Amino acid sequence: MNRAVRKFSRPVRAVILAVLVHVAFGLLLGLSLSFKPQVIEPSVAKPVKAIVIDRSAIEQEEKHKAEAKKKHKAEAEKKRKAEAEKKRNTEAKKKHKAEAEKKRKKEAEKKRKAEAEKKRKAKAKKKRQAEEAREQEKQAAYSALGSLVGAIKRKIEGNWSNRLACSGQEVTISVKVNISGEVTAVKVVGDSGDDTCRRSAENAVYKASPLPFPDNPRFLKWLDQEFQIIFKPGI
Amino acid sequence: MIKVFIAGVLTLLVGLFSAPTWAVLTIEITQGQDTGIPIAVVPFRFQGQQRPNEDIRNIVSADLYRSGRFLSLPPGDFLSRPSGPDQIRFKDWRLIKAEALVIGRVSQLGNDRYEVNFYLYNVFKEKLLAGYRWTVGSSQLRQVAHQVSDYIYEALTGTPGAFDTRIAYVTVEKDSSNTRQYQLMVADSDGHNAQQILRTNFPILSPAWAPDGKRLAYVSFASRTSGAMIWVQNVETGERRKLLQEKGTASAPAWSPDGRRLALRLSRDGNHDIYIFDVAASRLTRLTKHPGIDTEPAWSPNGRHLVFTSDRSGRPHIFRISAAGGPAQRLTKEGRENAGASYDPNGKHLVMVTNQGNGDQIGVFYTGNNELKLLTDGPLDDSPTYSPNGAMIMYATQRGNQGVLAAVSADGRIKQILRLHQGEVREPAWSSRKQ
Repeated sequence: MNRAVRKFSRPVRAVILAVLVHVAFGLLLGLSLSFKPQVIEPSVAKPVKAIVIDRSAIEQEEKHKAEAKKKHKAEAEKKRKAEAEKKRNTEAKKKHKAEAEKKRKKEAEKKRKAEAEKKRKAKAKKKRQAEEAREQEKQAAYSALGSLVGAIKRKIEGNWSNRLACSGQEVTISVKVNISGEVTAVKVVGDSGDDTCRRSAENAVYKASPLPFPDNPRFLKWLDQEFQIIFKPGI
Repeated sequence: MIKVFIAGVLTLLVGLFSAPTWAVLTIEITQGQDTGIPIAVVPFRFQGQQRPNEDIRNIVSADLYRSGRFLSLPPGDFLSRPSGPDQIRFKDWRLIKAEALVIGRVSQLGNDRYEVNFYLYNVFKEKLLAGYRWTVGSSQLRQVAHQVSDYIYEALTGTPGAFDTRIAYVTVEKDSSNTRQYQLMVADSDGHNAQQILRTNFPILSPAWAPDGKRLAYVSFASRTSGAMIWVQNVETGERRKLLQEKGTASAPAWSPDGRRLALRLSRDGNHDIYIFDVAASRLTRLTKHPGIDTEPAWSPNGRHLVFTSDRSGRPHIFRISAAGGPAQRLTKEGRENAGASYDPNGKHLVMVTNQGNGDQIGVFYTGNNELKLLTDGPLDDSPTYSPNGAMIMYATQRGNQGVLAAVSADGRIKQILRLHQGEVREPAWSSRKQ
């Protein structure tokens, strides 16, 4: 760089410098002119009366305004109509949809009802079958126990060792058994029989335990496991 | 409208009664096993030095058997042998189906002093029915055993027992000079502890116990030619009193239930008739007056009637008469002959000797329906006497040409010969309960 600068001779450098200074001043002058316009306002007298200078302009203006207003109104109306239309459309759509929904629901309900009915019928059938089965089981249980009555009687009679204690008397004993026929409770009913007679009857029942009893556990719910045994010595 | 309503009510009622459970099943039991009440009598445990001869268990067991109301289970079946309440396992006894359990012990307290404890249990209810204690000498152990039997009998049958009672009877034997010796004997109801009350060379007839169980009336003779004498003797004190001295014969004294009068057969007015003797007043009243032979009177338990044997209608039969006298009514019509009747304690049955063509048998006559049920097989059964509770009958019978005593349960099921004496045994009389 230094080598380049050194290329110019001193007078050239001076000329360049002078030119630059002049340019600078010229710029400064231009600036000062534009920065200071210094406009003085003309003092205008106040008019006594306003003079319409251009009536057509006003009419034009009013016409414009009316047109604009008209246009605006038309547009508003258009907009309103559009909105109404839109709203109407929406409502119709909504209504349609609701109706469709209603129809759908109705059908669904119908279908549901039909299914429920079907189900109900199936259930009733099942129930009826179950009831029939239960009735059959009940009858089977009854007849199973019924067929054992003689055996129960014989077993107790075979264990009544003191019949004489009840001569001229009658004693009723309530007996409870479990599923195996084992005697679980023995109770004299009422105040029948004297002490000895009662004891002889109780002992007969205890000794006869287990009593013959249907051994099907399914029968159990049908059979009252409580018997009344009347001890009444025959001649 | 009303019909509909009624139908509705009926449906409702039917619905109620056909509830889903079995209406209580009712079974009527009318027949029994009739082998007697199964009872376990455990051998009494002995504690002490000198074991007494009497075995309480065996005495009790024999008593119970003889009554016909019990089945004494064999000790070999027992699973345990408790002697006190704390040792009982009721399961052991339920298993062998004993309804009742008897346990006890005999403890020696000193020289010939024994304490006896006895317990009776209901096996299925596991309940004590009786428990007693005695302190006695060895000679009283038999009586204790009979009292044990009485407690058992009463607890299990509802009727008082009659084991601790006595029997009187007459024995006949020939002495070294071949003379007949008559003895009036008193023994326990099982024939043990026999004691002589009177010994004579002349017949002793018809011993009869007074209701107090202490006095015996009987007929005896002072010589071959003397008339009959009626005696009353207290068997405890030995004191005796002659009530009547007859020129002719006399027999069959019978005490009235109040113990104040004796009915008997006398022949003082030329005929055999029934008389009533008031003991305290020594007054004699004639009850029957009939050309036939009237004999063997017996009182009804309420004292209002007497039955007696009479041949007034041909063969001997049983007749009934009011204690106040009046006409006699014939009771037995069946059989060839009936004789020697006496009432059971309830006054409903008569035990008698009956001959229906197969010899003399013991039968029970039911006054309700006039039926006669045979208890023994005969052919030489005689002199039946009820036990004071009516459960047994003792009678005289023949075994090997010799008179012996036998006992039969009132249902006729159990019969037992009592081996009492070497000689001939006659005319048993069962005392009432000791008072």
